Amino acid sequence: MLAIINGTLVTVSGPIIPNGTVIVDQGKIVAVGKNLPIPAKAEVVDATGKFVMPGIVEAHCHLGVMDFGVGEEDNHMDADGALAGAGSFGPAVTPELMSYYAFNPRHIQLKQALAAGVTTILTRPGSGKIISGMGIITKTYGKSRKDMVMMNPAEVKMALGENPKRNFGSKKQSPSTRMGSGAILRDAFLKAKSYMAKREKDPETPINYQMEPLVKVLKGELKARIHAHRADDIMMALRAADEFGFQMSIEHASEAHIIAEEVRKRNIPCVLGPSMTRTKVETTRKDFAAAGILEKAGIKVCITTDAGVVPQEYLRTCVALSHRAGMSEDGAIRAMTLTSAEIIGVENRVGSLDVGKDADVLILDGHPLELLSQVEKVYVSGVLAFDIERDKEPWEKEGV
Amino acid sequence: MLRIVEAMLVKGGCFVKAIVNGTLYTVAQGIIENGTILIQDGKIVALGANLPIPEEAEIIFAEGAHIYPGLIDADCKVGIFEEGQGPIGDDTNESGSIGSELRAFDATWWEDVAFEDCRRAGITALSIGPGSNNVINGQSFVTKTAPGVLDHQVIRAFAGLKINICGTRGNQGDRTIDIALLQGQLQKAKELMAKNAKLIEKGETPEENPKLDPLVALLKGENFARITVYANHDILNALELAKTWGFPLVLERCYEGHLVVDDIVASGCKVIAGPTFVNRYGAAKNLSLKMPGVLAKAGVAVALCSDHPTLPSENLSTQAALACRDGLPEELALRAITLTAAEILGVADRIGSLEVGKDADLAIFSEPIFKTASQCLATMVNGTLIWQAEEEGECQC
Repeated sequence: MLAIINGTLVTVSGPIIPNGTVIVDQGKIVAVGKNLPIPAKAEVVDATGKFVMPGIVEAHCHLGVMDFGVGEEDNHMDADGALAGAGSFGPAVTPELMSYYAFNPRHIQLKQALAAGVTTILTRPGSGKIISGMGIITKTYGKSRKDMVMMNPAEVKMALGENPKRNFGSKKQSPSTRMGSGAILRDAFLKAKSYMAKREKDPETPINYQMEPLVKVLKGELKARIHAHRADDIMMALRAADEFGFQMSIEHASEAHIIAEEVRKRNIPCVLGPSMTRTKVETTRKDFAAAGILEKAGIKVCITTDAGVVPQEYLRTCVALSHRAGMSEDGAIRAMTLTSAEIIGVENRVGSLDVGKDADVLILDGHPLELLSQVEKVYVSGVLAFDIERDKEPWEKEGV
Repeated sequence: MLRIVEAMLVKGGCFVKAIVNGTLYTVAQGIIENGTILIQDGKIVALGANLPIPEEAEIIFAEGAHIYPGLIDADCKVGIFEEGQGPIGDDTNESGSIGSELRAFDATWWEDVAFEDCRRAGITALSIGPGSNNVINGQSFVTKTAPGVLDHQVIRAFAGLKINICGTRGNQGDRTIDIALLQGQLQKAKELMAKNAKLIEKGETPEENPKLDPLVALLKGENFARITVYANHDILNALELAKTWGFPLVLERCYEGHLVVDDIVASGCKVIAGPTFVNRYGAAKNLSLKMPGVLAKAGVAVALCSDHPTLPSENLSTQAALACRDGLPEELALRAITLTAAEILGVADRIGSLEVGKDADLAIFSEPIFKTASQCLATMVNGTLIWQAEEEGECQC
């Protein structure tokens, strides 16, 4: 049992509680409030002068499944090859690939994410294909893969715009154009629809593992998460969702604020970012001000680093800069906690300091949106997973 | 927050601007509350509290504003890597491994949108350089960020020779090859230097050699090497090369500087650190965001940079704020993007601090610069506003 006392509680779901207490038991939050009785057996952590907030949730990254040049990982990002011999789709459509198998729960970058307060991530395939596979939702800390992974599969990842065009265009394959991308996306869903109808009519129809994830999308059991930066690519995604009736989120959404009304009227959430880099042509109009514009338009928006595009530890920085550029304080804090959790579908477990949720709790030395504030302690399911003093590197310790 | 009252009458040739009632972060001489800056002919002519304001002055009322020397990005690729243009706008890396004769200002397009982004962020000077795909990549330069033809903005045309000895040149990368190639060039430069000395002694014209002359400048101590170093042994290699050949050295990136602090301190070299905005893999796997603080606290001169487009240059002050959060004292964090940067780049006689006699390059913010709420209100180069935030009903200019 654990009691974090005297902190300024940023509960996210409710108002800020000054001098509040969070009580944790068996990995869950069991009480949140002012003047709570401290159970006798609880370990007490004094957070006087500190801010206490829920663990940060990253709705879009590639940690643990991405080869960063050291040859340790599978480079699942844009893995080649559909199911051998299945032949349902071309090489740009591989919904059957599962990030789960590529995920290394001991990857160094998870440790760095954790130290920055990021406790839950949706990690997933890359954007070099129209439909690239299925991502997972996992904690960044835990005893084993089994303990860490919260949802598998968590989505079907799709991508439009420059990346698939460049990836296949350079090999003289399709899609080499945005026309090709649109056609391939539509073709995949038409085939999945017809397969679904066939299976419903005749249960003896052999299972096709390439089709199954798309059937889940059509049935609303999995969400499509579509990488789209430019307004025209976003519209292509929205057209597909309109035609096939699936649920989706816009990933990156760099120009969603330019067509905010189209997004709002369909009630589509945006996973916005990373706004800190913009080296591609399709990302020229990226702007930290977009978050506030989408928020004011009534669109559900969370903020992403797309780590490792932007290093994961910069998520809180990106959110602070979105706040500087016009997003409300409440909206900005939600955009890295509760809203992210809602968009990826794990708000019943993480994203706020509420009774019954996982005890993923951060202690910071200042307001979460201040650039100068530092994460000092990170609890994951009630376990002290990172401590700025305890976890110093050898070169930081005196006398070494 | 800013209210500008233009002078009704400009008296013959004596055009004075006064910025009044701001908090002045001079960097060189502490903080002045309710300070005034007087500007004439593009230079700071006076600053302090309670200064008399000349009658004919144009006045910028800056109550509540925080005024800094214009920020300096000590290493970036603004304009040489043009945004939104794709490969055709990328002029950073020439072919061939030895490019001492290449000059970054030949390839810098001054209408790249990133210049405007710099102006919006209070950045008034940039050191722009080539990429680092070669052993010798070319010559960096220092420029102001005011709009207009680049030639009129450049304040130091050759501000360090960009060298990379980390063995990271595509498929041919190998530290041993890189260092052998570099030492071969230094040997040739040394021979040319001796030859020219004899020619001059005889009253003859010395030989010009565009490929070797920049290296001769290094060996004579007239210019400096900016060596990209990632791993701790890259740093040690650079320190040894500088000692052996006797050239002034500035370490760039320096991702593992915190692992070899004592060696860096002993060498006396300076560091343009980071950006720490990179993923930790390969040679950067031991990068720590604490590195700038560790080095600066040990007494090393540390400037920060964006390496734009790695980190877009407009995030320079954020990079400094994060270095501060992770251990770089606030005063040194500000210095790292102003005066220390100017000193390392060899332009501190003109920019980097609010001091009498320096160029009137200023950045005016609504709050202390490292606060999240801090907005850039206006940016000035040589006494001229080059950018100003739009404020409804407030601007009377």
